Amino acid sequence: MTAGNLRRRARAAVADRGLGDKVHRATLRTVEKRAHLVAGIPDWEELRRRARALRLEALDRHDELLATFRRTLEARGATVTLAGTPEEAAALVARLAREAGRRAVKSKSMTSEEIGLNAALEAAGLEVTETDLGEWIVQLAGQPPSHITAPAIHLGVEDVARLLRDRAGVELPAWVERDGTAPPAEREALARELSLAARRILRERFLAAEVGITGANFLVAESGTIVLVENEGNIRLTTCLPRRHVVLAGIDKLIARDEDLGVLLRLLPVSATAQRQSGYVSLLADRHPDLHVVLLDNGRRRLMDDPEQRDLLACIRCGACLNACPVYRCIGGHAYGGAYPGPLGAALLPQLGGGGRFSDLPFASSLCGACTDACPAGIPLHERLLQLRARLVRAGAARELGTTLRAATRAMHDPRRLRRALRLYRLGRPLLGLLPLARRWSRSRAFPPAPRRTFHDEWADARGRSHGNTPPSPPRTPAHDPAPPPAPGASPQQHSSPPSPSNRDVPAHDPAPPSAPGPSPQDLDLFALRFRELGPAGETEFHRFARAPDARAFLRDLFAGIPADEVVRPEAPHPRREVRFGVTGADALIAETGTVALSLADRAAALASLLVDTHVVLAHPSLVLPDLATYHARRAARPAAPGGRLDILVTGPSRTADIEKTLVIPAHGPRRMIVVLCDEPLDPAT
Amino acid sequence: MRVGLFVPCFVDAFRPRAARATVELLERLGVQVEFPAAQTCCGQPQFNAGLVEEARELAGRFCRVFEPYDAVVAPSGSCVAMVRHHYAALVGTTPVAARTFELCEFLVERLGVVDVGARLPGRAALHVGCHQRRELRAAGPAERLVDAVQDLERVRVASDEWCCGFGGTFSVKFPEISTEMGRRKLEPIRAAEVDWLVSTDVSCLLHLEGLLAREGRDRPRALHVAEVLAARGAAP
Ligand code: SF4
Repeated sequence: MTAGNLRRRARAAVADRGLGDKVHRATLRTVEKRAHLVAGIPDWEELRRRARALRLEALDRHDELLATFRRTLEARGATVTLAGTPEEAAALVARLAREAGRRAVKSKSMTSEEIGLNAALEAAGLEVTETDLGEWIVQLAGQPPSHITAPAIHLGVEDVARLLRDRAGVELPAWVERDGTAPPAEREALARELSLAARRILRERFLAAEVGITGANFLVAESGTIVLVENEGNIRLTTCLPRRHVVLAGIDKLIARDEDLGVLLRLLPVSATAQRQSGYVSLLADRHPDLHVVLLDNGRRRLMDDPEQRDLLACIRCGACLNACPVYRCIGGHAYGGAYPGPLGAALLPQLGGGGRFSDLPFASSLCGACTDACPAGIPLHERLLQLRARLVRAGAARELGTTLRAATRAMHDPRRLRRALRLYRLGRPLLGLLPLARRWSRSRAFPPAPRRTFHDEWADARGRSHGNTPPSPPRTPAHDPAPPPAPGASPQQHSSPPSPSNRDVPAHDPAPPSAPGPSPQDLDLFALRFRELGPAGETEFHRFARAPDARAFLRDLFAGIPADEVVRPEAPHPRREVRFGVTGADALIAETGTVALSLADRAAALASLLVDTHVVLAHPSLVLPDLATYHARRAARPAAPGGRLDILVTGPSRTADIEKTLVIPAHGPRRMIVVLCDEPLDPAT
Repeated sequence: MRVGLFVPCFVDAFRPRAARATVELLERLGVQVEFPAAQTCCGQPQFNAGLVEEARELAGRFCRVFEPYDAVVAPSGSCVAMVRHHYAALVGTTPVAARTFELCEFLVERLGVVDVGARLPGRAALHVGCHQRRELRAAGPAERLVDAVQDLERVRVASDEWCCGFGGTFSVKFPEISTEMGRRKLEPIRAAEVDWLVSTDVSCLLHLEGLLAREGRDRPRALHVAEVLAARGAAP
C-alpha cells in the first residue's frame, strides 16, 4: 500500500457520509455505555496496570510458556503446531479441516483474517460458514470485517435485509424497498427478525459440519486452557458439535496462569462490548478426542524482542481503541486495508509479516491519544505510532513533508529568519493557494488570517527590545487596545441568568459491592439482581426455595405437559437437536455479574445448557461467590482433573447486537434461563 | 519569580492577540513576564512527523533559552505537552520541562486563581486540546477558569472531548480525514448555537475557524482562552 492508496481509500470513505454516520452511532453508543460501567469499577486503573504487567510477563517468558502449553496439550492428545507465515498457517488449517470432511463452521477470528483463511479453505474444497452473526453478514456481502468486535458495524439494518433477501429469502419491509427511512422501533424490529432468521439458517450448518474452526482469546500455559469469549453461543456450538476442533491463534495469546483470567476477563467484556461479562466464556481444558492447535508467528516473535514496541503484543483485541478513535469513526475499518483497523492496526500491521505495505498507517493519526486512554492493556498506542513514524522517516519514508519541515527547522534556529518567514506569510498569503501542499489545507479550510504584525514585533516595539535574550523588562501596560473582539451577530444576546453550575458531576452510581469471602446474603441478592437484569424482557427467572418439596413442585409445574424427550436431565445424553428444556447443576454462581459457572467432563455435556430453548439451573445457595476474581482464583487453585475438564461461564441467555447494536435474544443458544436455588439438597435427576 | 513567556511560532504569526491577551492577563494578576526573543519553536511539528533529530535540536534550543526562568508559561497545551511529556525522550530529563506550564494550569495550579475578573457575554463551547486533556491531564483548570467568567455560559456538547482533527502535519497529509473530523466535531457545536468557540490551542482554532469560514458562518466566533480570560465586558 502506498500513501496515495490509503489517502484515496480514506477519501472515498469520508465521502460516504452514511458510513461515517453508522460507525459514529455504533461506536459512540459503546463508548458511552462503557464509560458508565467503568465509573462503577473502583479498581479499573489497578486492573489495567495488572493486565499490562501480566501480559508483558507472558512476553518475557514466551518460549517457556509455549513449551509448557504444548506439553500440556500433547499430554491430552491434542496436536500443537507452530506456523511461521500466514501461508503456512492457512495451508495447515485447510489440511486439518479437509481431513475431517467438507463442511466447516467457523467462529470469528481476527487471526484467520490475517492469514486469509476462508479463501484457503474454499480453495481446498471446503464449504465454510462464518457463524458469528456480524461475521456471517460480511461473509454474505463478500467483504472483510470492518471492526474487531463488531464486524458489520459499517452496515445498516437495511443493508443486512437486502443481503438476507438475496441469500436467505427474507422479505423486505416497504420502507427498505423504497430506500426510505424508518423510526428506531421499526429498525429494531427488523434487526430482530433478521437475527432470528440467521439463527435458523446457521443452526443447520452447525449440525452438519464435520469441523469447527475457532480462534482463541487467551491460551493459558499452566493448565493448557483455551479461552473463548462470546455472546451468541456460536463459539460453543462450533466447539461442541463438529467432530474435529481446530484452533488458530497468534503466539501472543499465551498467558502464564489461570489466575490471570481474573484480571483479563474482567477488562475484556467491559472494553469490548460494554458488558460486565460476556454471555459465554468457554475455558476448554478437556481431553478432546480430535483437537488441533495452530499457532501463528508472522512477525510476532521478532516484535517480542523489540524493546520499544513489544507491548503492542499485550493487546487483548477488545476494539476499544477503534471505538475511541476519531479517525476510525470517520473512515471505518476497510480503509486501513488490513485485518486490524484503527489505532491498533495502524501500529501493528506495519510490524507483522508483509508490513511494508502499511508504512503510511502510522501517519494517519492526529495523535489525540484517545486510544491510549481507552486501552485496557495500558498500551500507549499514540506513542507507539510516534516512534514508528521516527523509524519510518529514518528508513526514508514520508519524504514530501520531511523536506518542508527540515527547511522550517533551519529557519527555527535563527529567530530573525523565522520572523522574516512569518512576516512573509502575510505578503504571500493571497498566492499561497497555488502551492499544491497549501492547497491540501485550503481546499476545505480558509487560510488563517494574517495579522499585520507578529507578537514578536509588537513586543519589540512596545518594550523596546529585539532579538537575543531579553533581560527582565520593566512592567508596563501594553499599548494595545485591551477590548475583547466584538461579539458575533449584530446584537449579542445578553445572558443575565447565572452561569451554569460548573460542577455537574455525574452522580455516583452502582458502587461495586464490597466483596466478602464466602457466600453472604448480600452476594445472593446481588446475584439475583444481576441475573434478572440479563433478561430485560423476562428471559431470566430467579427462584429460591427453602424446602426441597417446594422446589420439586415448581419444577413439576414447569415441565407439566412437556413430553419427556423434550427435557434433558443432568447426566442424560443430549439428542443433538434443540429440546425445550435442559437441566444442569452449577459449579458456582457469581454475584457481581449474575453468572452461572458450569464445570463439565466433556463437550457433549455442554449441550444441555446450549442446544435447548430454556436452560434450567438447579443449585444450592452456598455456591454463590462475590466476583469473577474470586471465581478465577478458586478455579486456578483447583487440582487438574486427570481426564481434563471444561468450564463454561454462562451469563444470561444467548444474545447478539451485531445489527446496529440492537440487542436480540436469543442468538444461537438458549432463549431463556431459569435459576432455581434450594436450601435443602435436591436430587436433580428426579 | 521570573516567568518566561513562550509564544509558539503559529501563535506569533497567526494569532498574536492571543499572546497579547496572555501578557495582559498575567500582568493584571501581578506576574511580570519576560519574552526572550531568541525563542523559536518547541519542535513538536518535527517530532510528530518523525523528524527526531530536528526535534532534538529545537528541544535543546528551547531548554537553553528558558533555562534562566523559574517558570515558563505558554498559551498552548499542545506545545507544553511536547515539552513536559516528550522532551525527556529527546534531551533527557530537564528542570525546564518540569517548570513549563500551559496558561490555565499556571493560573489555577500555580497562582491559585480561578476567577480572573473576566467578563464576556454569551454562550461558549470549550475545546480543550487533546494533548492538554490527555497528556497533561489538565482540562480541569481551563474549564474552571471559563466557568468563572462573568456573563459567559459554558455549554457542554457531545463532541467536547473529541479531537478537532488538526493533528499538525496530519492536516495536510490526510486533509480529507482531518476535515471530516473537524466537521463532525463542529456538528454538535453548531447545533448548540453558541456565540463563541473557545480553545486552549490556537492550532485547533485555526483549523476549526478555517472550516467555519468556508461555510460562510460568522457564528460561533473562535477565541483563544486567553482572549476570553482577558476580556473585560460587553463587546463594543
Ligand atoms: S490495543 Fe488496547 S484498546 Fe486496542 S484492541 Fe488492543 S487491547 Fe483493545
